[in-house]
Amino acid sequence: MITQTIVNGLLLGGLFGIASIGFSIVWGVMGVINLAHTAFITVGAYIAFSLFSTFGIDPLLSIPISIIALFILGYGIQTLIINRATQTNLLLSFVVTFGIDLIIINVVILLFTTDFFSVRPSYSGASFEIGGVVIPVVRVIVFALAFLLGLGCYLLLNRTRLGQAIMATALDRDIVRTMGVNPRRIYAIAAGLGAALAGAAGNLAAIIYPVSPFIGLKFIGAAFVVTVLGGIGSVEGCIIAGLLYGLIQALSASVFGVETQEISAFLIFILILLLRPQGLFGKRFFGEH
Amino acid sequence: MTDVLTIDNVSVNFGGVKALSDVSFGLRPAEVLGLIGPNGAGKTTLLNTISGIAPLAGGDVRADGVSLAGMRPFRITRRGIARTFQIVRPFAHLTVAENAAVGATFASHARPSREEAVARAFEALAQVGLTAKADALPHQLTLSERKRLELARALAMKPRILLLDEVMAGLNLAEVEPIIELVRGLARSGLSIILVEHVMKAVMSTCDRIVVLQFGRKIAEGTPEQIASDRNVIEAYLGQRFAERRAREAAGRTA
Amino acid sequence: MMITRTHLALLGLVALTLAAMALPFLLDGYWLRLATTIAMFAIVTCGLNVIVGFAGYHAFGNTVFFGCGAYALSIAMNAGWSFSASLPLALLAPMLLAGLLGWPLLRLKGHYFAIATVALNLAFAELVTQAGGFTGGANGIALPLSDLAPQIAYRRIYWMMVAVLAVCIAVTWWLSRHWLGTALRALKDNESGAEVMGIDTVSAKILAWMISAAMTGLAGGIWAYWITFIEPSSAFDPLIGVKAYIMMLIGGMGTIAGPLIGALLLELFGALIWAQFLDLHRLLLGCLIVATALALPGGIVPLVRRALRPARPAR
Repeated sequence: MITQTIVNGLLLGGLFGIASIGFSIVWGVMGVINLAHTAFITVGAYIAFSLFSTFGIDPLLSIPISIIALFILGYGIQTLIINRATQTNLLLSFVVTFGIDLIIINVVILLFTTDFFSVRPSYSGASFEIGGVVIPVVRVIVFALAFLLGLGCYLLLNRTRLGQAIMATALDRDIVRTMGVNPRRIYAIAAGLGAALAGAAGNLAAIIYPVSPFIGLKFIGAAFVVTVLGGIGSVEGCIIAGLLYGLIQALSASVFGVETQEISAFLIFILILLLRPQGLFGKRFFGEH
Repeated sequence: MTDVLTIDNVSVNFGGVKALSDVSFGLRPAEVLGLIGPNGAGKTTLLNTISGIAPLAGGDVRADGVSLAGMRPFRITRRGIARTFQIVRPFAHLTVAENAAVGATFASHARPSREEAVARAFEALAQVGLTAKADALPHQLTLSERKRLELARALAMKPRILLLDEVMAGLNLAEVEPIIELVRGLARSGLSIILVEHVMKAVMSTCDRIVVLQFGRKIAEGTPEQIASDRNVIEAYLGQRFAERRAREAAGRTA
Repeated sequence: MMITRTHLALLGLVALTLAAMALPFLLDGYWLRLATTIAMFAIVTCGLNVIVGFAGYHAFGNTVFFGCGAYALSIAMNAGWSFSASLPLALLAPMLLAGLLGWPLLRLKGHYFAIATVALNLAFAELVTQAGGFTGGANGIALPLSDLAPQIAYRRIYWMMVAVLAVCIAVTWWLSRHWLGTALRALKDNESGAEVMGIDTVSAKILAWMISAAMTGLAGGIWAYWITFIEPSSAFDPLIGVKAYIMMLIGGMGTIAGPLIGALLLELFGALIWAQFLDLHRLLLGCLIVATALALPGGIVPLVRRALRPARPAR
């Protein structure tokens, strides 16, 4: 029983991790707390649903499409709105991204109503059993893909020139300006990357959860807790913290009941902020100032 | 004569590094005590410790026999210990007069009335020659004016002990002279002052005594004349070779 | 006796309050409801202005005090207390909460404080939902109905809102000239600098948050009495705090008249424009939020003040 809980928690934890990486990168690189992040997740879920229901495209195959579409959306929003709004005061990003969230979610409602839809590929019911622990195939696939995407993102940030430019901008945007890097462009790319990961996470979430305008809200608590737990802006921290978060959620649900999941998430969050704001793996980023 | 401020075996750690180790000296009533030393010697750290910003790792700081260890900065200020900062950071959205009035309002246990605080603020601005800029915002001031505002903020607190962190750095000689005059005058009127400064001429002509720090340790203490001829100090500032040559020259003259 | 600007300001506030008090004799139904809503949001915005505009702590989740005030009043009234005996609780309970939580939370800076207050708001909504019993849990809680005719009751509620708003504006004005206001403005600029100049920054910002909570909680209490049925999702709706934040931005952060002007503009705009498009209400609100942040980050009051400045003779 306890093993089953742990396995469930870890498998979901992979999704929590990938759903938070984009949020964490955006916060770490430019100090913007993007409240529209969960709306990006929702959009990703609806892309998977639309392609599946209209063209019968397998939700796993629609992931690249979600990634590209959301990259463009994130890049555009950053260039047109957020870069301008944060000129005077970074904390304005709170208000602006809340507004963007309202807009996106309500456009989704206009297009799709508030009904619940489901994305059920042929393999969605399959599962296997190891030592009495039942493991649904879909969740394993979602976990594996989430992990691969996280790894790809880690490599992109740490092993490529673009990644180096993003990291350098995160540490000191005034210095990179003298090195010929345009921080606003880097911000737009980072925002696009963050949105793209959210889109992928939403696409994956559509396979597990019912698709509705509120599907992204499942991840709002996770995004905050995982980000501060893993250390703001840290990809590897996000993945580990995501697993930890999934585990804590699953355990607190099985011990105290499902209703307490949210409360425990928020309490953990406030505790981390107070006790160890640099996260478990402590790294310094722009967003921490 | 009892000291107004006692630095007793003070040690301070800074991210695992010892910034100060076992520094001891006393500040006497109505004296100007110079605190000098090469960059990174721990001068500003010592002022931070006195004013409660940097925590003590060992030893004690006492004002009139009362230990300041673990006391919050605002309480230390209210005991009559005011300071200026090397990097001036006035309240950017408050006018020059309001900046000074903050010092006058909060630096004592008995909070003065608004009128009295404003009067004190203007008195302090007059002392540093900033009256004409009272309604300006800090970003409209020149460097020299900003340094003087920093001083005025401290003076408006009506302190008994004044800690000055490089109030003359970056100023030209004509600008330094009136500040030296002001500091001497304050000491004559009974203030005890610790002066951290790089401008040697100012230190030598202003201070009654000087304490020299190097690598977080006190290496000398004495009158300006004693310090100027102290071998350790010359070594610290000009290097060992130079100190040896000076010593040989001195020996040659006496022989 | 000489008439100073202080007297003029006070006189203006009294005249405005009296004029606002007379409105119910001209307005009814929909418009009275709108006027009550405007006054309510102006109070919430005043509360937000104290902690954000003065102290510089961006309490994005200040709704928690609105919900706290609403629940304090509702629970007390359901326990048989009269409205007038319960209303002080709507002020004291949030104030106490801010006092207790202020010490740990106000040590956080910038973003960290902002998101901690959001988490606090969400956690409280969950807590009330899960607690059940006297909070009514997810089912919400109905208040005892007033014996008065609805017409009369609504007028009284409106008057109450206006009276509380007048007090809040007066408190903000008092704060702007009081040492506490100076301390807050100083610590907003440079907290460690303020501390070294003798300001007890910890007490000052906790006090500011308590004042903020008291204002917000009172609005929540009267609101609960007004709509007679509350549930966690409505009383702790984050949108209340966010709307107040927008109103503060529109009016001007840290100004005295800003909250009222912002509330007036946003609610009137809402009533005139998007009442026509009920489905698009939230979408338009989102657009308005983005537009405000892009076009008016400083707010209207400073804008007007700047425009008027050259006209004012030098003293």
